[in-house]
Amino acid sequence: MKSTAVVRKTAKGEEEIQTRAHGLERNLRYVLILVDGTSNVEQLVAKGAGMNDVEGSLARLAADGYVDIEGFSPGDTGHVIDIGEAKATLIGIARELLGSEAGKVISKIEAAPDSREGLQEVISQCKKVVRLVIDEQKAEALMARCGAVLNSL
Amino acid sequence: MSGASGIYNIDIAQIFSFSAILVMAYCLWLVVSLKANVPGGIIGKRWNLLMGLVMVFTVGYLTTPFFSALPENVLRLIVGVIFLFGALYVVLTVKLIYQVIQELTE
Repeated sequence: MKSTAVVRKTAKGEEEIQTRAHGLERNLRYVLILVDGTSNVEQLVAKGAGMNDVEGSLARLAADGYVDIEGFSPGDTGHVIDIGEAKATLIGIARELLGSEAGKVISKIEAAPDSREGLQEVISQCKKVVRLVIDEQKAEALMARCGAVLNSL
Repeated sequence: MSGASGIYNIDIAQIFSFSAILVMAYCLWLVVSLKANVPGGIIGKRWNLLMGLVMVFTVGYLTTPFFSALPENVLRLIVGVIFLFGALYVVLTVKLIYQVIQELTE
């Protein structure tokens, strides 16, 4: 999923907002509400900074037919990346979000076990570290964006 | 407890006062130098408050060698202020420790 891809509600998405006919989970519904037809993935992740894994939720909404994401097909949710690629992406996200304060997080990610579960555990620890000593909002954004990467493992 | 004269004419209260000043000066150096490691977040916000309180304590403690020269009402005021901020410091520290525990165990 490209971060610049614009996200639009489908007819099913509009219907769900109006009628709750499909009984969408609450967190997915919140993400669906954010979708305004003009914001791209990156902007929606920023808007939903307080929510868990906005990018992963968008992928699920697309897979279930509630939204269309430019250049993204539901099959993409199954896109598999390897651990090394995931670590590099996570480090990039940490650098982008935390700037000069990313050092501790980067070293934790580098030292993480080469497994999805290991990386998840380390990212969860990193979120706590960021919440405690850097910035609470950045911690949520880090968790959301890294969660999306881990979902594609 | 006082010595007979000269260099020994220092009572135990003065020894405690000077020791307290030294420890508080070390504490001040510690909070200021460690601040860079805690730029923000839950601890960072509290850290600024703790740093302010340590500064207040340092100034208060520095007045202790002059206690004998101060009028009693001023003396009582200084001691009261130090006690109040001391209590606030303890509350802040306890709450901070609890928040950290919550964060790490959630």
